[in-house]
Amino acid sequence: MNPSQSHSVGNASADHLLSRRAFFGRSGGALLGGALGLNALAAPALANQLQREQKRVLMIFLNGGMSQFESWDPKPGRPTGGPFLSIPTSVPGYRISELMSQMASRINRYTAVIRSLDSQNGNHTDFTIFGGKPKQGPVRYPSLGCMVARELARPDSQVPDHVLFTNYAGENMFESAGFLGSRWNPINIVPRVIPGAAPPLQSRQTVLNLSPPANQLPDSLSDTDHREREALRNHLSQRFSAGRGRDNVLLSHSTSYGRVRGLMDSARLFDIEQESAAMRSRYGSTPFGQQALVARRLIEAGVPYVRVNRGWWDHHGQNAEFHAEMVPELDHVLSVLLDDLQDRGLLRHTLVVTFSEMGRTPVINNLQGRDHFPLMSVTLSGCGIRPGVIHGSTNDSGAAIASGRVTLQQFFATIMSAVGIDHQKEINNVDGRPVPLTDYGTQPVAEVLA
Amino acid sequence: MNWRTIVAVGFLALAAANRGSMALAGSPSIPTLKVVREVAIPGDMFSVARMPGTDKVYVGGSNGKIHFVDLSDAKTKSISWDAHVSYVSGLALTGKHLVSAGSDHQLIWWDAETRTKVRAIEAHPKWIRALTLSPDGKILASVGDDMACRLWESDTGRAIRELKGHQLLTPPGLVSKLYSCTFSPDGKFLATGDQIGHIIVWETETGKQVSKIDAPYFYAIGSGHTCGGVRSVAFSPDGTQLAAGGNVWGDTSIIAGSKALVQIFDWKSAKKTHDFQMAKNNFIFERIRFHPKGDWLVGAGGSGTGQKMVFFDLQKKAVVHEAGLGTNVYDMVLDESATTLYGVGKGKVFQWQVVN
Repeated sequence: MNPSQSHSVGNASADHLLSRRAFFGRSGGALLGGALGLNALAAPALANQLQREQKRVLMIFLNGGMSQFESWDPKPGRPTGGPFLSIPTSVPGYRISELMSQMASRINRYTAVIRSLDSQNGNHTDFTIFGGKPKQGPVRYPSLGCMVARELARPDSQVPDHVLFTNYAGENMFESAGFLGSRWNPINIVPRVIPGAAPPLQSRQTVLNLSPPANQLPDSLSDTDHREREALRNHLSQRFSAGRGRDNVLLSHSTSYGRVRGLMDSARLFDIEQESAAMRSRYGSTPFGQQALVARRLIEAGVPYVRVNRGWWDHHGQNAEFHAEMVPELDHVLSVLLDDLQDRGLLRHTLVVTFSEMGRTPVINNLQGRDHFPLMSVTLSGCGIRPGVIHGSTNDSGAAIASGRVTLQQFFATIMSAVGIDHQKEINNVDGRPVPLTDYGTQPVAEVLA
Repeated sequence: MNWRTIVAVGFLALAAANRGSMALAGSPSIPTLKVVREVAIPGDMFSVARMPGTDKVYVGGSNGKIHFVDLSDAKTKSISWDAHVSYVSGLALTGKHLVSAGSDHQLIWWDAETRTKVRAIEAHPKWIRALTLSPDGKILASVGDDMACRLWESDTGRAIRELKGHQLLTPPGLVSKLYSCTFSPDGKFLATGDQIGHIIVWETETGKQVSKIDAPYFYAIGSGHTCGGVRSVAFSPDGTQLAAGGNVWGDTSIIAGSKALVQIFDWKSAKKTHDFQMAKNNFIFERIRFHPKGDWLVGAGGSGTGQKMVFFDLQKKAVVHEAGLGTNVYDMVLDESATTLYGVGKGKVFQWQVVN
């Protein structure tokens, strides 16, 4: 970085001069120790802005409902405990499943665990990512990702604000911006069906994509043609919107088109080949590992909200068998991801969340499976979190919350508070009525916040 | 006799009466099952070992306990003791001791009379899936999720040998499991079966691999997870054939996921000779046993729905009898004459008479 760049950062217009993408792209792991980082944080106004703008959320959504018994809240030796042992962690007195040996040594450094989230949901719906809010007629509430993306996004950002990697099923628990406008919907990266799948692949088997296919123009359209079309569309759009005020839907429509070029120019962000073979190997060869690596690239480039879905955890049969293979994968990928973000100086600005639509039953059924259960364990790591806090508990069998019940709204408020969002901020819905991001009076779980 | 027993007996009688539709009518070798006794024990029972020449069995369950049950006594009650932290996944009677294997990684030697612990060994770093005793009673073999088979002196617990050759990871890169093991009737060979349908036959004396069988239909790659596995292996009495039990490729995470499967191989050539897929029911053959003379093979239906005990005539390559169970059976043993079958499952110990 040269002196002139450093100087210009101290000006009031720095946010226009300083592309976040360039900022992180240049500094990488040296961000916090570099001249720019130190100088920038020394100027209070800019420091606040940077602190707010730099923050982002990486959501690992465990589709289907991971079992808390085989992960964060084991009950070995109980009739509900299943086959696995528990192991001590770096937090004295707290034990997790033996399937999570890597996270066991990292919890005190990175992670707070909430063992008492009452989702009040027992099915595969989008209920939890909407904070338990019903869809009331024409009023469509936004989902968590859309709200957070909107609050953390920068107007002039050239990277996507919200990206979602779906699971193998191309899952249907999609984010939706509701009355915020489609501008805040994610780019959904869906899987591709493998035609003619044969054993050992099941029929309708899919392979995960790591990038959105829409990043590339079709062969029939040249880059010049595309730019000229965009100019024409923009001209017509401006004429249409003149005098129509600040209609959210109209604005959203227009800005979505306006961002297409920026998104297309982001293709490199999704290109895992840009990473070294050693780094790809570190995350592991599984599709989830590779998605997590691309997610880190997006976070590093300044995408404020990235969701990676790992599924399918809905193990009504053979629960222990499936968890025996999937929990170690989660353990590995989450550990590597947290280490990598930490090494790059990004974890203090990035909140990594694990969440799901529900947990699993204490009772093991005739299929050796666990069924749907509203209580679950979730984790929060990194930005704004006090690591090593284990909030709440369940009783000996895991059938009920013993202490520290947390609602979905409280969980959302905690996520927002951790990344500096006022969770009681009001946004006007379609009829102009102010609606808070989380219900009035909601309190975050203060214990887990730094 | 409680109502469940009455229902079971009635069903079995009905099945026997109708067996002509499922078997070769008039065949003198068609076996049927008759319930002799059931004893209720809370929890899932995963393993059983029988005292030779008696109706006395030791049973291992999901609650970490070992239960002793004398099925010759109509008023029998189980005697139980705490053995493992979690599942008791295997049991073997060595003559001197009862040895138990657990998902808590432990092999434990017990004085069966006094139910006191003689020794405990951290035998595998992960869940021990199966334990089997050599025909001469001198060697125990255990397999676990570390994908290793380990041989132990049955009397002393001394480690003899470690057999490694199964893949650690499944094709999608997830950790695999080594589910099953059994000795050949002469004890010279040992077979092990894993999650991805690979079966290895080892020479017991040297630990050398002598055959590798690929049975891909026992394994499936589903929606982000992998399913199946060779859950049970059994050598034929003449030692020439090796049977594998499990379920056909399908998603066992869901209720109607997959059909039970038995395949039999000429293990020296690794060629499949028999293929039995259960068409209508969704369960897993958790245990398979040969008749001591090779007249038939029986498979026990574990996890799933519509579980059955299924008898296969290998000569005719046909299912000759299906006995509906109404519950899971995870393990079973035959007596010396194959006239009595002892099984364990969800909350129960069973004793059946095998009517040939």
